[in-house]
Amino acid sequence: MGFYVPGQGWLHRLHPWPKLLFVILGVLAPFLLPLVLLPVLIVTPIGLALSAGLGERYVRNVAIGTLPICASIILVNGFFYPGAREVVLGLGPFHLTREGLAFAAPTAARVIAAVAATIAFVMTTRPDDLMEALVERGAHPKLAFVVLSAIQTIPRMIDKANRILEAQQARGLAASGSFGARGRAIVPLLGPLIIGSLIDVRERSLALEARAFSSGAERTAYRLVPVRAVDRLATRIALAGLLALPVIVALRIAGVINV
Amino acid sequence: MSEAVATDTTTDGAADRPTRRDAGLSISGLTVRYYGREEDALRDVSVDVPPGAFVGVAGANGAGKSTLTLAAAGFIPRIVRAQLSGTVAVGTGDLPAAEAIATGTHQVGIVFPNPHNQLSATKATVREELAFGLENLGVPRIDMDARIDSVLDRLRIAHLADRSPFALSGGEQQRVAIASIVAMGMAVLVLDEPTAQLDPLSTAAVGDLLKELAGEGTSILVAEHAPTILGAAEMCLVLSNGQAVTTDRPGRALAPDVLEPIGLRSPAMVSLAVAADVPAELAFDEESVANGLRGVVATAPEPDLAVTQPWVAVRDVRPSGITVRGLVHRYPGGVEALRGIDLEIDPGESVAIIGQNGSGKTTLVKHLNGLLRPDAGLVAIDGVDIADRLVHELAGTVGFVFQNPDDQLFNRTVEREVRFGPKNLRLTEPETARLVDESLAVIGLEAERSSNPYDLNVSSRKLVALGSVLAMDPSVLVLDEPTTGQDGPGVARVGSVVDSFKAAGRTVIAITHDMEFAARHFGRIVVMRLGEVVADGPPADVFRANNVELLASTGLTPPPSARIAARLGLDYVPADADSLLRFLATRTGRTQPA
Amino acid sequence: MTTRSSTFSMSQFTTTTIVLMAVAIAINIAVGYVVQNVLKLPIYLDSIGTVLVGILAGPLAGAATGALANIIWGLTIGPSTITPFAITALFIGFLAGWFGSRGWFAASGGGISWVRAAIAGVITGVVAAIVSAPIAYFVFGGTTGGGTDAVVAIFRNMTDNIFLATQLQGLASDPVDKLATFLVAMAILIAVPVTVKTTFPQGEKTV
Repeated sequence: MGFYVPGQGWLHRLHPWPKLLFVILGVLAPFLLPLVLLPVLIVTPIGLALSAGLGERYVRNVAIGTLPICASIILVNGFFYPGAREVVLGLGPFHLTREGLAFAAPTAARVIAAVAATIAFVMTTRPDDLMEALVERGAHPKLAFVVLSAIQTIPRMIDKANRILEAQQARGLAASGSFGARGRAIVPLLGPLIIGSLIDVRERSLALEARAFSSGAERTAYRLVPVRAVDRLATRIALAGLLALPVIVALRIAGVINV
Repeated sequence: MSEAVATDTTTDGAADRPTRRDAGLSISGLTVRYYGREEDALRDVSVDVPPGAFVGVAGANGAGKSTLTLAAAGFIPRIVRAQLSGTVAVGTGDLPAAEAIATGTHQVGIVFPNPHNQLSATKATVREELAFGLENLGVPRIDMDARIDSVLDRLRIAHLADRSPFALSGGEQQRVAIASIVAMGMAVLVLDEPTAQLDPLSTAAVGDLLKELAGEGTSILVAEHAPTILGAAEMCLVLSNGQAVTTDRPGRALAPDVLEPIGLRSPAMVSLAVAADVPAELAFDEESVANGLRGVVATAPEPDLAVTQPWVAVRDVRPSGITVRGLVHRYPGGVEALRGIDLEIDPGESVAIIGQNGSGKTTLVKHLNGLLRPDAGLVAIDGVDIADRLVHELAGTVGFVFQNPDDQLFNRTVEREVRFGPKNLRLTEPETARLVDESLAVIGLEAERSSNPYDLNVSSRKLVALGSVLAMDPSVLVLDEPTTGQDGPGVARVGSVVDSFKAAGRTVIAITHDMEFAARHFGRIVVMRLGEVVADGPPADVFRANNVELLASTGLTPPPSARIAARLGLDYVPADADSLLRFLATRTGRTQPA
Repeated sequence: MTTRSSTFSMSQFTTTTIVLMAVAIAINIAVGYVVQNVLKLPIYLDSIGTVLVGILAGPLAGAATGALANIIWGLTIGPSTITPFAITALFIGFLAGWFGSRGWFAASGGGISWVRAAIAGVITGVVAAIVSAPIAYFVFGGTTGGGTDAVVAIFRNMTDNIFLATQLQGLASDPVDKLATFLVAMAILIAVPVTVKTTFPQGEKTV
């Protein structure tokens, strides 16, 4: 479930911690750095991802993740930018304006850059490895539990929702048809899902207790992700980048950099 | 206060075996009351489970079995809020089990009925799942693999090591749950109805596993309904309304004179063993029981003279016949779940469909109310092809009761829940009221009309779900595993519902693992294997002696009494122990035929 | 059993709460699936899990669940562009927990409880819209990528200020969805047995 695909490329083998730092950098930089750097910020993650062997699937994921929102950004701002005067294209009562497009283009570009970095990250990082890396660096193990357990529970919950749909239809519930009929189906469909899940919560937490979940002992880890020299180097580079961001922002505000 | 018992990794080179050979479970004078209740869940119960002992706990739902297992594992009062008095002691010291868990050195592991809910849901493979408990205990990483490998071998799940836990069958998941606990090095293993959700093969496997673990020195305390498990135990504690009725060998503790006064039915083997005057240790040994019965049969039990009240129709309902011709159904991957089924069910017939998991039973019946559509072939009700009918439209004709009641219940009261079906069918208020009353009466839950269904135990919830479908007055009733998770009285109640519907001339179809239930209440048995029908006929034919191999090839065995009858060389196939005893009694001329 | 001080303390993160959080995140997604894909209704209800955690376990647990739910949804199922709205979800969970701590979802309250649940829903929806607007503006130029972007045209025509228009767009949809969410949550909580509700830190306040 999710974007992750197993693989052998260098991005897959890179330790989750520097990868996490890089994706934070990759998401913040487009919004904090001068506009002129945007093309670089878009090409870099895409280039890195393709060089790591992520291929067509990566491109498709980025496209699906950005096309709807970018279409919205461009259309909404292009046609409905307040105070715009220079019309570029007229379609009946609607006018595409230069000001609107000038606002929309960098906005869309920022989103593409951030999504490109994010997809590269999620496609190459196993959630359990990421959580283990975070716990090693001080995150609470119970937080890791919530994240990993939620991810595995999602498909079960959808299966359950489908079973409930079948069961209630078998009792005569119509889940299609008029608006009112579908509205009346909300509680019969969500009720068993939620109530059943709440009851399962009790059983599941007892089972966890049986596995010493709250024993308070110093937790050890079975699955280890090795840290290599290249991972340490990558971490340093990423940290350098993250530290550079506020510096550059400060310089821009102070007017020292005028881009 | 004895010193805390730490798990030591060096004993006998097997890091997951109990390290204190004298560790055992000792419960004395245990009384538990949940907050807000007016009655004790358990009163003055005592049981001893020394190392290597295998003790079973029997009793109806609500008798206190689960409470006993929770208390034994030290969950009460620290994790489950209840008042507890008496002692629960582990090992020879008196470190109370509750304290042992708190200090992280607990020696009592607990396994619950639902296989899914025991997975941590955070691990990608079974191997890692087994490591979960070890991680929480802070076991050093270098010691983990040895312990995990040892457990994978002992419980024979090494072939599952790299599989995803959620991809396993229920039986396999329960093995993993037991393995996870064993890997933590528990000296005592407590299990609460571990086979409730499992089929007969998996149930037998659990029984064998528990015997092996006991043989290796683990103390085993298991609360169960399944005769297979209780019969494998050395001793059996019988609970009724929170109090101990007796603690004895299963052959005696589960005898009719003990169980019937507390409203339970004695397992077939025990009834026969008692009648055959076989010593209690051999009560579950078919050879001994059969030999014992070759002699004189002293008395035959009185036949059940209760007259079945037929279900009273409220809607204008005509019993329906079902035709299935050349039915093929493929899973998304292309695998054929059904390979061309031909089945003709006349109006008013009662059919039990049996077969192992994966045989296609559920896939087949889901075609009967439109939940699944044929990839090839025809499904017709009263001669009319139902391929275009929507599920909720067919609900008035085919009443389908699902296996898990919690997939259906969402109302504040039982009554509202039972009303849901008739309401969807847009029946008039007088019709609805009559159907609700009748349903509640036939499922025996009139007294719980205003209770919250989720306040009732799972057996009763299954009955509520059943009642809610009955209230639609369907002409065909389809039941998916109606007896799984039910206690004795629950199974009897389901049986009487089936009889009542049959008596009204309606068609009843059930998928079941319970061979005795099938033989007792259904006129026709359909056996499925790998998407095909391999046998089809009355119980007397299907469960006949020379059919045993055929059944075995599908992973099934005939009901115990039928197996004994086969050993006796009888031509008669009894539905249950009482029928067999009556047959033998009339044969020897000791009593008049009923 | 819960004291006033525990409403905002870490003690609400019991094992039961932890499991509830994981389950609630999955519920959000499954409910979104049922309401949007199966029933094809014009609402989402996909923060109902977050709301339930808030009500049953407390505002801190609710806030954490909201934030995690958004991030997990965005990074596993996608689209990843919803992750910035984790901040909004955080507020939703927090408010649900705060209202829950004041007993606004007590089943024994009868008619008043429904009114309170409705008010809580509207207030939460308004707050959600207010919190979402700057996110939508700064990150996405005034759009959210959701269906309501079509509605934006109307508001853009009404005002010269994009920020305000974004605000109005959110206010048109969020309060309705959150109102529905809180009411459905209430309807379901009423059917949950007391013994189950009280296993959660704030559960007694819903009795």
